Amino acid sequence: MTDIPLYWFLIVGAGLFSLGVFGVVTRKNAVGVLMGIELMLNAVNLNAVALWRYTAPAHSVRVGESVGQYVTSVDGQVFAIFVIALAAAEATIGLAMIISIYRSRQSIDLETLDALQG
Amino acid sequence: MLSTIIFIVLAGLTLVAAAGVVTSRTIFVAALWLVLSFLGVAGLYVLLGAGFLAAVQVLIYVGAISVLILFAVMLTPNAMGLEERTNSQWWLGVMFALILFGMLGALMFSGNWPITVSGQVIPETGGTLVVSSEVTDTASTAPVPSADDARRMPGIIERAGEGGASEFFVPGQITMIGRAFMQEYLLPFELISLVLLMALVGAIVVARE
Repeated sequence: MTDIPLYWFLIVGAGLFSLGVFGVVTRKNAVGVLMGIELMLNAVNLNAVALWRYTAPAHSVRVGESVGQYVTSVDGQVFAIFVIALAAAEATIGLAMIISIYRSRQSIDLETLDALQG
Repeated sequence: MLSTIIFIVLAGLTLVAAAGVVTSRTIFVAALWLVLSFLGVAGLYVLLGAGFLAAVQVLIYVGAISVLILFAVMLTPNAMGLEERTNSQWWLGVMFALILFGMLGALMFSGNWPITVSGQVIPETGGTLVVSSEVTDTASTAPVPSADDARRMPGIIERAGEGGASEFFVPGQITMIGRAFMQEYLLPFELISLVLLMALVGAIVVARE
């Protein structure tokens, strides 16, 4: 564990986020855009957990035979769980809207969905 | 060394699968790549010592959200026809994503992160803390706090052990997450359950015939 620097994880997160952004701005299919958003949320979670793992307050302790550090907070993981819960809510609503739009127009092509355009 | 190899494999899997999600021609294949990408992120969580979160990731993302997306793909047949899968400004999207990645990468590479946890994180499951009064082998270099230091650490449970001496119990990670939800983050925790309920009801109302 110690031989992996923190920024490796952060750069994987940045790559995942950029790929998600690319998916969101280029996909024509509404489901594809939702997938891009899920990738971005995963990238955010990965960053939160990586930063928690490396920079949380900790004490060096010994528990039984094993020696290591007692991390006194789990804020990064709690944050990630909140984001996962919100992502689940967002996916549910988004897909319900997509199915509703498909029913009325037989298409989920985002370029044809311009009813709100002035 | 081993963890470096595992990291490279998992990171490569995650990023290749994510690239598959945004570039594959059919949306169904993209959804399958998405599952692989979620699994890669779950593996990275394990590598980061967040086993519970990895389980949550597999349950919610791989088990629920991916299935939901596959359902949506199946319920919208012939929604796109066979025309182009991306819009006409895809090259702008490529440039934007590359510039964003460059900026984020430079920021994170050069960031002066205050590293506090460098060794092994213990304990995943909890255990009894060794305090200085119990140490008999002076040759050991392991760090042992005194009983007073142990009392000052947050989250430590003190119990009366045998012979009147205090025993200090270090909570496991799942215990700590549960406590955080029920103490520090109680209000957000209750609010998120309300949000999930609203999403459930809203989805039924929106998707109803």
